[in-house]
Amino acid sequence: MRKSLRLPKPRKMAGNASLIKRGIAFIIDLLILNLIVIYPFKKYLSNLIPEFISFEESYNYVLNNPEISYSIYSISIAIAILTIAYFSILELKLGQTIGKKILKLKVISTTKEQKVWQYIIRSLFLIPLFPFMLLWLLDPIYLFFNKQGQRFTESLSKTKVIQEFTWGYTQ
Amino acid sequence: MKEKTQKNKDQSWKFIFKTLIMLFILSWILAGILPALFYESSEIGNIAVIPIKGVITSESGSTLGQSNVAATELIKLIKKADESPGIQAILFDINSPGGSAVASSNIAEAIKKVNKTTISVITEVGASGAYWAATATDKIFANKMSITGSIGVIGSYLEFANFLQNYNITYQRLTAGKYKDLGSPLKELEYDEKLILQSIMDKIHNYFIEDVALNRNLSKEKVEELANGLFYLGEDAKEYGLIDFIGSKEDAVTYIEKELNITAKLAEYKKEKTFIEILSQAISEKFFYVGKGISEGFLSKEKLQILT
Repeated sequence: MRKSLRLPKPRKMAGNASLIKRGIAFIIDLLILNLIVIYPFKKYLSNLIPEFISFEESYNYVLNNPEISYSIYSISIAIAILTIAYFSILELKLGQTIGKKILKLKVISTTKEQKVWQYIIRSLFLIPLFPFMLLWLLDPIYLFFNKQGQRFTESLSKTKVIQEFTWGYTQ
Repeated sequence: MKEKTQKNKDQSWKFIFKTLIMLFILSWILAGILPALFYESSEIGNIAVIPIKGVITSESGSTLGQSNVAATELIKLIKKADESPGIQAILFDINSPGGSAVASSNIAEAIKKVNKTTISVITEVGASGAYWAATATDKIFANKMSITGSIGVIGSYLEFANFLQNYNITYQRLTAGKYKDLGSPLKELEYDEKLILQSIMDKIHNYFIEDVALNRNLSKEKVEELANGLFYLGEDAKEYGLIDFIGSKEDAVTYIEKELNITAKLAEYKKEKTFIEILSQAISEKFFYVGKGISEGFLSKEKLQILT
């Protein structure tokens, strides 16, 4: 009978997630959200704005009908809330969204405890309202300079995205 | 160990699946609710259609279960349509016997201030105060059998003075000011009081006549001839210059399209009823019909017969 080799166990280490992986994971999540959250609103949105040839015509149409821009705004808020729910619930419970799961990334709390507010705050950039829209600039700039690989809202919420590195032998 | 890892994996995918289903359902619910809450799709278009249906009063309410046209609410809709950049014309859909002189005059003034084309269409009835408001528009359409005109003022009331006397009920008059209880149904209308009330109504009538003459570009004398309180069918009203065209709402829309060189898209402008208003109207309607039913029961002789 052949004996199995007693090889050293594979070693695991967690480190800052690479920006490329984070970007791809985010795109995957957006594609899923497009199907789950945005698709139900598509029919209503397409009825709201008739088909126009150019962007300018669509823009003028919305400008001349303030009720339409108000409705679009309301729908954007609703979609943002559902999107934040997607990220918050999955990251709080599993530490991963679908995109992060596929790319083997994980969200952890840098404090001992995990609180709900942490996972909501880290997703606030998804709200299309001033001043949250400032995060669209602030988050990537902060990320670029942060040694921990955190966005501004991640730093605020005391969370970070990590990826697990495994090396060694596997049987 | 491997089995435990696999079990955790399965559970995490199950959780993800449940979360996605929940979000999907929530999205569908919100996509159904939001349009009704925030946006009235019927208010998008280039011709605002504002209904004037029912008795015209200054404030909202109902009369015998029928809702009134509140001048305050109507004027808000008129301003809203006037300020809406997408609206190029306002069409007033009228089916009203008139109402308060003040309210009707206020509506007419508000229509005159509009900087867009205004057209009124009289369907069944557009008389008295409703006709006053219609004269403020650029053109008036009516069916040949529509009831319009009735350029007059009414202030009649039931007097119960003799009725009270028959039941030995006395009206104790306590006033400071000779005419403080002028028009009270509990006492006889004195001759001088009647003259006073009549002169007030004549003044209001004069304002009505002057406004119609101005709005319809007719001489005051001509309007005075027609302003005997009589109502006119649409056909006759056109002959007298009280309306412009015999036609329907569709004819009015076609007219606007030709005048403004546009393709019409009608936008319904109406006051949204609050839940309390809907409930209150429903309750008052029910009680009205209950009362009507009971009174019919008493009046109907057949029901009093004893059947053998």
